[in-house]
Formats: sequence, C-alpha cells, structure tokens
Amino acid sequence: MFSIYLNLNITRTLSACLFLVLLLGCKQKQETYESDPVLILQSNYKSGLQTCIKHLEALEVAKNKTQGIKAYKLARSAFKSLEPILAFVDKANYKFLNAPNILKIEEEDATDIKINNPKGFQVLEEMLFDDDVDLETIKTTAKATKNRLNLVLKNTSLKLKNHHVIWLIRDEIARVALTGITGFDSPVLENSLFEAQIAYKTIQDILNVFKSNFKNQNLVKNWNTEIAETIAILNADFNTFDRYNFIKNHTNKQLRLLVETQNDWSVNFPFELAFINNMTSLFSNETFNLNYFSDSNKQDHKVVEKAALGQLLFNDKNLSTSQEISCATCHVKEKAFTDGFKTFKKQTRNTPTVAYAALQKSFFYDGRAGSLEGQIVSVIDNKDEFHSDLKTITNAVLKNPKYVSAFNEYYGKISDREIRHAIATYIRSLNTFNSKFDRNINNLEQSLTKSEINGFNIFNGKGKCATCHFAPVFNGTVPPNFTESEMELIGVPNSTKMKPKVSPDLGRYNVFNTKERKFFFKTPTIRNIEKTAPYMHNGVYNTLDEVVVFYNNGGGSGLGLDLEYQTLPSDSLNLSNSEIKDVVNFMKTLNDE
Amino acid sequence: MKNYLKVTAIGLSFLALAACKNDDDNAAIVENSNPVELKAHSTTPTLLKVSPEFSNINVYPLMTSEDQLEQTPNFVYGSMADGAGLIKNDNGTFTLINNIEADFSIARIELDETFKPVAGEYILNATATAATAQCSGSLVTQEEHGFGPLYLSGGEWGGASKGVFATDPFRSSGNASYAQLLPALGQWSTENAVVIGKDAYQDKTVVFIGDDHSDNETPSGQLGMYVGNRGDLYGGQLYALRVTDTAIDFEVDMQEGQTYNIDFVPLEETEITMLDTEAKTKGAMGFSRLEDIDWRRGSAANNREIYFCVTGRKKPGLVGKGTTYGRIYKVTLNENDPSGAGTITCVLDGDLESGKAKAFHSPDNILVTENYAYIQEDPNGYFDNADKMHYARLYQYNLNDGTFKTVLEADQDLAETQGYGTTSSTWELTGMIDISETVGIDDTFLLITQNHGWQGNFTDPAANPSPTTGEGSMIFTINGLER
Repeated sequence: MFSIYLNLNITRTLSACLFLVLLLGCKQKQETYESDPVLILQSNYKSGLQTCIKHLEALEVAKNKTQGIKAYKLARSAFKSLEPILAFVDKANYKFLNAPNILKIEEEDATDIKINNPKGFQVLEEMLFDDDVDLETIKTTAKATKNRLNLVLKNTSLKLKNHHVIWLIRDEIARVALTGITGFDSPVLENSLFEAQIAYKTIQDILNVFKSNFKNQNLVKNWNTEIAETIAILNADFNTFDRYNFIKNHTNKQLRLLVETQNDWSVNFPFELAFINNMTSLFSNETFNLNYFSDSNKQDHKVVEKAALGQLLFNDKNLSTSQEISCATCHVKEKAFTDGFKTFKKQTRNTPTVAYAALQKSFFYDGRAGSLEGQIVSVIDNKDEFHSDLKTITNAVLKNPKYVSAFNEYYGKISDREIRHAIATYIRSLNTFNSKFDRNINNLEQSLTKSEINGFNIFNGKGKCATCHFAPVFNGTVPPNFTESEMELIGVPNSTKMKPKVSPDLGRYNVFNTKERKFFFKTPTIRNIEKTAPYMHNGVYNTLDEVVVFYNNGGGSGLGLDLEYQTLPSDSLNLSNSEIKDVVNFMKTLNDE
Repeated sequence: MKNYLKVTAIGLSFLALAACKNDDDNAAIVENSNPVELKAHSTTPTLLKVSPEFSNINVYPLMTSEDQLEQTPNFVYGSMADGAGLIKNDNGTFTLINNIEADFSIARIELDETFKPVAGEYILNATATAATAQCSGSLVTQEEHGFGPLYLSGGEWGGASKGVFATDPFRSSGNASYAQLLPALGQWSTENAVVIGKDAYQDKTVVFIGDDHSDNETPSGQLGMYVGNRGDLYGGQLYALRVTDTAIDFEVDMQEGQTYNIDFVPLEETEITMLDTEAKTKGAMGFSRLEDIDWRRGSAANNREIYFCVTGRKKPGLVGKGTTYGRIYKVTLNENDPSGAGTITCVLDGDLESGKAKAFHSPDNILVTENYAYIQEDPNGYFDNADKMHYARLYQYNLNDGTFKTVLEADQDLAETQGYGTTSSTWELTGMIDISETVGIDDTFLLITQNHGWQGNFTDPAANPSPTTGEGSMIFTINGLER
C-alpha cells in the first residue's frame, strides 16, 4: 500500500492529493502547465537538477583527470544555473553543495561536536586540480554530491509567491556582487565571472517566466537591456575585471529596477529578511534590517531614544565595580571605538571596533557569544574588565533617577535585559555607511582616486581579501543571508621579528577544545581600519602595509609556520608593491565621517 | 513477570484490530498464551543503574552493537540509535523500526514471537537520505492515529535536508529510491514529528514538530504544528505556538507551575531561514532547543495534552531568555480548533536551584503515557553543581500529582570498567516507547542508549559505507514501570 509515496511529479496535481487514503475525498485541483509560471519554473528547475545529476554521474565514472574535469565543468555550470532558485528555496542544501574544501565543524555544545569532511562542488574542483588526482575519493565525493541533489529533486515542490520571486532575484544579485565575483566559490578555476553570467541568464529566464506579472512593459525592456549589458561586461578577465564600476553601475541599478518591479507587481512583503525590502544600494544605512540582527524580528519602538539611553550607559563609569571604566574606556569613539593599544592592560586580545559590530552573528574574536546583548554579559563578568555582575549593574542603573525614568518610559521596566538591550541598540546605531567609499559607490560624489578604485578591485579580486571580508561590511558575515560569521586560521605571528612563532593564543579552540579549531579567529570588519591600529587579534602589526604584506606572502605559512588547518591560501598572492599600496589606499577610504 | 502475562484482543495484532473492534466486550483475558518472554537477549550486560525505589522493575539488554543476530550475522546495530517504533505482525512476530542517527539510516529489526531479535536490515541507508541524520522518530498507526502505518523521523544534521522524513515501515531494504520528505511540514532543525492521537479532533490530523534550533542569542526553537484533514500530510496548514500573555517575551518569563495563554500563528513559509524569520516576526515563542514531544494517552481531552522537552543551552546571550538546564512544558490545546486559544504550563524547570527538577541536565526525550511522563536526558556537559553531576538519567513525572522521581541512570562507571567507553564521554538516553499493548505485557517499554565513546567501528556498511563515529548503541526492554 505504500506506493502512495508518489513523487511530486509531472502529474501537475497539487500535492494535497497524493495521500491515497484521501484520494477519494480530495479535490483534484488541476493547474495547467502553461498558465502557472511557478509550475513552468519548477519544471525548468527540475530538469536543471537532472542535468546536473547526469554530469555528476559522468564524473563518478571518469577514467582520468581530463574526463573528470570535463564532467565537472558541465555539472558546475548546471549547478550555477540552478543557483538563484536552489540557494533560495533550499538554503541549507545549497550551502552543503557549495561548501569550501575545509573541515566541516559543527560545535553544538561541549558534548556535541561533529567534524565531517566537506562534500560538493568546491571540494571536487580542488580535488580534480590536485597534483595527484585521486579518482576514488573524487568518485565518493561526486556520489555524495549527486545523492543530495537526488534527494532535493525528489522532494522539490516550488511554492513561490511573488515576494519570493523578488527576494530570490535580489539574493542572487547580491550574491554575485558580494561573493561571486570575488572568486569566493571558484577557488582553483577562478571561473567566477563566467559563473556570474550563468546566474544572470537564470535571472533573465525567471523574469521571462513571470512576464505576465509586469504591467509596465518598459520595465521588461529595461531588465532585458540591463541583463544583456551585465552579461557582456562579465565576459572579462578575472584579475582585471572592474568590480567597483560593476557594482556601482550595475548591481545598484538592478536593485533599483527590482524595487520598481516589486512596485509594478504590487508585491506585499509579509516580513523582512536581512536586507530591507526597499533596498536600492548595498552600501547604505538603509541596506540592512537591524531587527534581523537583534533579539527579535518584531518591530521595535523608540529605537532612537533607546540608542541615546544606551549611549549614556556606554559612557558611564558608575556601572563598573571600580567606577573607573566604562565601555568607552576601551572603545574610544575617536579611534573608531578602539583604544590604540596592542592589547588593553590585563586583556589578552586587541580591542575590536564596535562600529558595524551589530552586523555579525557571533561576537568576540573567538565567536563565543552570539549577540551584542550576550557579549555584554561576558564583559561585565570579566574580572579584568567590569568585574561585576548583572545584579550590580542593574542596581547602579537604579540609583540614577534619570535612567529610571528613561527606562520606564521606553521599556516600561528595568532589568539587566533592558539595560543590555539599550546598550546594544546604541551599538546597532553605529553603522553609518557614510565613508568616502560609500559616497562614491552610491554615486553621490566622484572623489575616489584611480589607486583607491584599483585597490577595491584587487581587494575583491586578485587579492582574495573579499573571499573572507565580504562587502559591504567587509567582515566575515556571509552575504546574502547573513546567518553566520566565519572564522579563519591565517597564522598571525607573535612578533614582527625574523623567524617568528605563531601567536600562542589558541582562539576558537578555547571555547570547546576542538583541536581542529586551534588558532581560528573571527573575521573582523575593515571599515574605519585606518583608525584602528594596531592590527590583528594581538596587535602585532602597526601599519596596514605590514598587514597586506603578511597576506601577500601566504600568512603564517609564508612565515614558515606549520599550520595544518590554515584557511588562507599559503602561496603568494603575487601582488606588486603598487598593488599593495592600492589596497591600503582603498582601505583608508572606509573611514566614517 | 508472569503476573503481567495478560493479553487482550487489542494486543493480538494491529491488523486484527479492525476485525475485532466490535468484540471488545468479549475480549477475554487469555492467560499464559502469550509467547512473548521478556528477557536478556544481548551479550552485553545491563549498564543502567536503577534507583532503589524502582527496584521492582526489570531491565533486560535486548540488543546492542556487539551482538550478532542469528538470521543476519552481518547486520550491525549501528551508531547512535535514536527514535523507534514497534509493530506486531500478523504471524505473531514483531518489527522494530529504529533510526540509526550517526549512520544516516533507518534500520528494521525483526523479532520472533518470543520477542527475541533475529534479523536486521537497513530500509533507508545513507545514500537514500543523502547522509542526513535521522533523530527522533515516531510510528503512525491506524489504531492510534487513524491512518498509517507510517514512520516519521526528524532530519536534523549532517546532510542539511532539515525536515520531516516519512518512511514506509515495510519498505524493501533493496529499495534504491531516495527518501521522502513532507514539505508541507516545513524545514526546521527537526528533532521529531509526532502525530497526536486520533481522538483529539474528530476529522483532523495534527502533527507537532520539535525545532532543535540552537541559537546563542535568542531562544529560537519553535513548537511547529501542522493541521490537515485526517491522514493528509501534504495539503494542510503549518503553525507555530505563540504565548499571547503580553508580559511574556521569552520562555524563562514563564514560571514553573504557572499557566499562560497561547494560540498558534499560521505560517506560510517552509524554507528553514524564512520560516524562522516569519515565525519570529509573527511573535512565535522561541525555546532554547525544543527537542522531543509526546501526547497524553487516554481520553480525547488527554490526547489534546502535549508535553515537550526543552533541552537548554548555556550561553551569555541566553541569560534571562532561554533555559540553561532544561524544562518540560505542557500545552493544553483548544477543544475545538487546534490553533485556537489554549494554555501552556512549564511543569518542570531545571534552572530552579531548589526546584523538584533541580537535577535536570538537558532533558532531551519524552514519552507520555496515561499517567506519567518519562523524561530522558542527553547531558550537554554542564556539570556546574552537585545536582548536575550525574550521567544521563531517566525520570518519572506523575501527571496527576506532580511527583518526580529518578528511575535509573546510565552506569558509566561500571561500563568503563567493563570496556564500554569512558566516563568522560556521556551517553544519551533516548527512544523510549511504551510497547505494553504491542507485546501484550503490561508496563513494558523499550529504552535506547547512545553509548558515546564506546568505539568499535559499529557501522553496517549496508547503512553507510563511510562511517562517521562508529560508536555503539544499546536497546533495553524495561518491565514494571507504571503507565
């Protein structure tokens, strides 16, 4: 009787009817193939999945490297053409299929740590271009990748409403600009620009399928022109591609077209994800929905007032037990909320900026806290910082009648939760996106020098910096979903002397004692970096030139340090002195006003 | 043990039941005719330490990873056994469906009419699940749920297909097709999906989904609910629980023993990130890792009483928001409309230093009978005070008078001396089911241990050719616990 587990297949009968027990009582709602764009899209999507599976099957039986590479490239192209839909409707599986070739470590809790070998396309790409090609391992990896696609194929039933279509196009536009063109997921072939063209072709196809949604036919024309131009421009060399002008003239333009489209389609968004639904630039204080990065995605009230209250608390020394320090003691506004020390006295790590800190999913260099509100608890408890506790802080606040009336007015109550929320709200207000770079890429002024623009292009291309420091925040929180902040092992030395040792700080390891996580640190933002010297978690470098030279030489490996799990490529980036200078010049355009 | 040899017609067979429905009055107790004999069938000793006040119960090791079954000597009872369901077959034998979590597979074990495991095979292997871990599971049957048989399991980690898997318990082991998910039930970090009893609502099937979402900032595990017509797992509506009392922002705002108002908000999304964001936007209550769920047996009103475990999480960001050591909640559903106004009560709070559940160290799995909840732990490693310094325990909570007792504890000190893992790697108790009616012996249960650290390459290549942990599992028969 279990033939009832029919696939959701080409019968075009809505799935409600699949359960045999119910068949008799079920209304057989028939949808015609031609009239429902979602069904057309689903049919295209499923045949794309089948194509991708077919090429992976060819890879499984490849007899040599050449055959393998040929099959891989076809499979990868099919995967990239699926990306706009797959990465939206099945984010977890997309991530699995496109995982980088580094150990997959899930640290749930001290007693629940799972370490698995990664699978998927990037892994296959690296294996196929290895000096010693191991066809057996490639076969296993191709099979695991294929199995996952098969499971996806069997269980796919697209239920896309118009707002989903807008969201998935927007995600893909952002994905191409912020990760795709950086070489983020094409580690060996650097095939990213070609892959971006494939993704844009799918966007074009999707818009085409939904063409009956458009009331304004000019908009259709504008899209066609824009996508054709974009694809033509992407037909370029990876190292010399002008990423700055691509984002300025095309990505941002497409975001504007998308907002016009959602208005034209009269789309009602039921809620907001990380991006604001009306976003028209990736580099603006109207890019991000801060609720998504806070306690709850519910609409908050009196945000400006709460931030102002938080600013008072941030600067108030009475909250510490010694009454000698406040948050601002280490996070000095003039120094972009850092302190200028290698490490503050009694602290083990360099003070990070709190500007843009809100746009992260983990906190502290080792990512041990998951929120601004949470990391405040650790700072308060730390005997070398506030050396206090939540109760004492709350009592200190209660002693100040001004605070009491403000909290009562904005929150209706006072506990440590509201105190932490107010401070966090202040920090969430510090993402101003008004640097020289932002003003230029938003076309508000044209003041960037050729060197600065070239620096951005190297940062996001040849220099591979942006494969970890993702625009627009230039930190490790991965666009376009912003669900995690990545950690890396780059091998920071303990000194600038010859033959240094690796910095003894074990970083992430200290959180759960996972040995594969020794020396891992969270990728911080480089916004305002000119003001936040010295650099690295131990403040080992005083200048940005030193930092870029360190990366250019292959990080710790380049210094002769033997680090099995280094995630930074250990070979040289081959940046010339003038290119290094350009990168530094670009980074200095990121100072907020 | 002989005292428990009462077989009612209900116990004879699932399929026979339909035919016997009208004969309840004549369902004479058949003395001593039940061939089932509860006893140890494993070569492994019992590694559970029973509390003195439960000294009357019997615990038998039924099968472990080191056993060889006579009909299938190559079958390996694999790594991290979890959810399970037991079926009685027409010929008097039994079929046990059992998730083998770390081998990304589902096993089917045949037991003869005396309840001795004789054969095992994998009906869903790592290829079919694309290496997705199957966590807790639940068996849906005509008798209890009004449709089935069907086995639901939660896809949680490893493979990224987060959602509810549905498997035919009689699927052939040679079946090469990929696993079936239930898209209408949504993507969650699915710990379990549990269909409640058919008497709860006349013509509806109501499924609860436990969202083991661990978040370091905001408790984000939601209680998902799916409502469809009887037996329809495709065309119904998805919801999440919302606490409607305005004073309650976070789960720990709810005090042990207090009752709060709830309802269920409809959700339109099914993809995991969007579903989570939608639920949060609509004010769904988030719990710090919502794990297993069960419903109370007995009357229709009982069927509408839902219990679930929140295992807890210790992170600075969760202070004042989510439970640390774990909680048990009771939800009482609206009598007429499952999504309508109901209530929630935190019945046991492991964070209360002198509370009755002060020993709680990550309650993870729950079985609810007519009068008791049996709560099983999977310690998260929070050995912070004397009350928490123990291995995984099984607790008994009396639903009528609130009495709370420890039934047994994993005996890892003994286990270590006998070569079963080390005391530094704590085991999980899981998969407890009430099999009294299926085997025809009252007060009979199955209980599983995931023996973390008991290394023996315990992965059947037929389940997964490239093993992940290789750690062993054990399943025990327990008799004498009240229902």
